Amino acid sequence: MAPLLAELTVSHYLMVGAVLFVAGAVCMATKRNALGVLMGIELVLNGANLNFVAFGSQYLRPESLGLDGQLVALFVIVLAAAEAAVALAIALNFYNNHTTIDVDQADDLKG
Amino acid sequence: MLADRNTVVLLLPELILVAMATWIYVGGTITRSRTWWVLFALATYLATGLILLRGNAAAAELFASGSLSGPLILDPLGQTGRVLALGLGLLFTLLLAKSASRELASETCATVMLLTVGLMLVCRANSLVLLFLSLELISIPTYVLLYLGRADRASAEAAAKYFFLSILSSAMLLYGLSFLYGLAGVTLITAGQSGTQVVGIREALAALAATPEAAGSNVLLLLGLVLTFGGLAFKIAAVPFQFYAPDVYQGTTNVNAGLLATVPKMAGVLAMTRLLVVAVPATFQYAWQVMLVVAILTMTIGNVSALWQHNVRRLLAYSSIAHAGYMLIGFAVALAAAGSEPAGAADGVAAVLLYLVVYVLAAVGVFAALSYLGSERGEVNDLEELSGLGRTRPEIALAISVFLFSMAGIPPLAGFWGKFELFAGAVRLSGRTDSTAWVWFLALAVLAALNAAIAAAYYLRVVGVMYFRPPAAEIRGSGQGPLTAMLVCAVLVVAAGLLPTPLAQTAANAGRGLVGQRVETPRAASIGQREPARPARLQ
Repeated sequence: MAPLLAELTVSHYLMVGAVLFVAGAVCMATKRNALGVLMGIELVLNGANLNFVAFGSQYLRPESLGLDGQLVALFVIVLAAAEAAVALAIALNFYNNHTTIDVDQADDLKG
Repeated sequence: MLADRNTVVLLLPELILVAMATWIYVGGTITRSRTWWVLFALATYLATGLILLRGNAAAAELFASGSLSGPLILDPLGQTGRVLALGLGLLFTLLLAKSASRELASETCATVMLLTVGLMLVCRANSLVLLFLSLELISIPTYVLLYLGRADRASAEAAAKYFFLSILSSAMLLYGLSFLYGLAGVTLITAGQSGTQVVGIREALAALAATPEAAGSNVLLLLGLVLTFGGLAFKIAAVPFQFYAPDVYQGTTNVNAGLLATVPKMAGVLAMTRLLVVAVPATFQYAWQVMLVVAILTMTIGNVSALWQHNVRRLLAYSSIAHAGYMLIGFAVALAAAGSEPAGAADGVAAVLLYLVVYVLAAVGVFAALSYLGSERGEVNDLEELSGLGRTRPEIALAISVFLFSMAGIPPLAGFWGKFELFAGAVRLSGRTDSTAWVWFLALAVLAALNAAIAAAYYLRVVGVMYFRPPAAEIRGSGQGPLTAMLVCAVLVVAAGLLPTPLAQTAANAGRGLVGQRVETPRAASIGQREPARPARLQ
C-alpha cells in the first residue's frame, strides 16, 4: 500500500493542472459546437490557475505566504467570466449569420 | 485612505482614460452623434497627453534616483511606449470619425479608449499579473471591435476565429507564466536598479541558474518559455500562430485590420521584451536558437505567401507576418548577446523597438488611406480597385507609395533605418561570436536580405497597379479624420527617414535602460541559499 500512503507533493498538483490544460486544448481542437469550444477554454484557463496556486503553495516554499499565486488565480477567474460574456455575444452573432454554431461552417475566408 | 497618492499620480493618465471611456459608454444613451463623440474622445486624448508629458518628467527623475520599483516600472521604454500608445489611440479615433457605425459611435470610441489604456499599461508592466491583465485589456476590446465592425457573414466568421484562437493563446501564455512564477517564486519581473531587498524573476532565475539544480529547473524553464513565446507569437502573428491573420484581416473592416496589425503587435513585442529578454537568465542556452528559427520561418512564409494575394487586406496581413519575422531577428540577436555582452543585447532590443515604431507608422498610414478611399457602399477590398489611383487621386497614391516603400525598406524612408539596424545587428554579432553561432547569424542576415527583396516585389506590384493601370472605377474618397491620420503618418515616415537620429537615440536609450546592466550578484546570492530545498519537492 506504499503508493497510497506516499506524501502528496506539489508535482501531483502540477500533473492535474497539465491534464486539465491538455484536455481543454484537445476539447478546443475537436469540438465543433462553439459552446463546446467555450468549455475547452474554461478547462485550459483553470489548468493554468491550478498551476499558479500549486506553485504558490507553502509545501513548495515554507517561508512565503504564497499569496501571489492565489491572487493570479482570482484575477483569472474574473477574466474568464468577462471573456465568457463576450464569447456568448460572438457565438450569437455567428448564429445570426450562419444559423448554426458549428464552427466548421466558418470556412468562407480563405485564399 | 483609498489609494496611495503615488499610485494615483503614476496612473493618472490611465485612470482618466478609463473614467472617460465609462462616461462615453453612458453618454451614448444621451446623444448618438458620431462627430460629437469622436471630438470628445480626441479632446480627452489630447488632455491626457499633456498630463502624461508633465508626469513623465517627474517619473524619469524617480527612475534615475532608483527609488521606485514595483509592478509599474518607470524605465525609458515604459515612458516612451506610453506616449506612443496614446498617439496610436488618437490616430485610430481619427479613423473612427469616418468608419464607426452611426448607431454605435460612442461604444466604438470608448472601446478603442480602453484598448489604448491596455497598451499603455503593457508598456510599463513589471509584474506577471499586471502584464497578463493588461494584455487581456487589449484582447477583450479587440473582440468587441471585431464584433462591432460590420454585421455580415464574413465579419462574424472573422470575429469567431480571432476570438477562439486569441483565447487559446492567452491561456498558453498564462500556463507558461505559471512556470516562470513557479521557478522564481515571485511575480515581479525585475527589481530594476532599486537598492532594496526586492527580488524579481530576473534576479531569482539568475540565482537559480548558478545553483547545482539548474539542470533540473532548465526543463521547466524551457517549457515555460516555449509556452510564453507561443502565446505571444499569436499576438505578433509569428509562425506557428500566423495562420489566423489573413482570414481575420480579410473578414473585417480596414480600420479593424489596421488595429489588428499594430496594437497587438506592439503589445506582443513589448511583452516579449519584458518576459523573454529581461526575465530569462543570460546563461540560458535554448532561447536564441528558437527565436532564430522562428524568425526565418515567419519572414519567409509571410513574404512568399504575400506574392499571389489579390485582396488588399490579405496582402497586408501577410506583410505584417513578415514584419513580425524581421522583429524576431532583433530578439534573437539580443538573446544570443545577453550572455557575453549586455551592450549587444541592448542594441538588439533597440533595433526591434525602432523597427516597431517605423512599422506601426507605415501600417496605420496604409490602413488610414484605404479607409479614406472606402465609401458608404463598400470598402476597398480588391487590389484591382486601386488601379489608376495615381491619375484619379495622385496625392493618396503618393502617400500609399510612401508607406509601402517604407515597409519595403527603401531609403531614405523610415523603414530603411529599421531594417538597417536589425540586419546590421545580426552581421555584427556574426563577426563577434567565437562559437559556431556566427554561421547562424550570418545565414540569418543573408536570408533577411533575400526576404527584403521578395517583399519589394509585392509592394512594387501594388504601386504598379496604382500608377500603370488605367483607372477602373471612380474612387472618390472622403472623410477628414482618415485623411488627417494619413497625412500625420506620411509626414512622420518621411521625417523619420530623413532625420533618423532622434528616433534611434530614443530606442537606444530604451534598450539600454532595459538590459544595459548585468544583474548584480550579491542580492542574488542570498536567494540561492534557500534554493536547495525546492527541487526535492518538485520531483
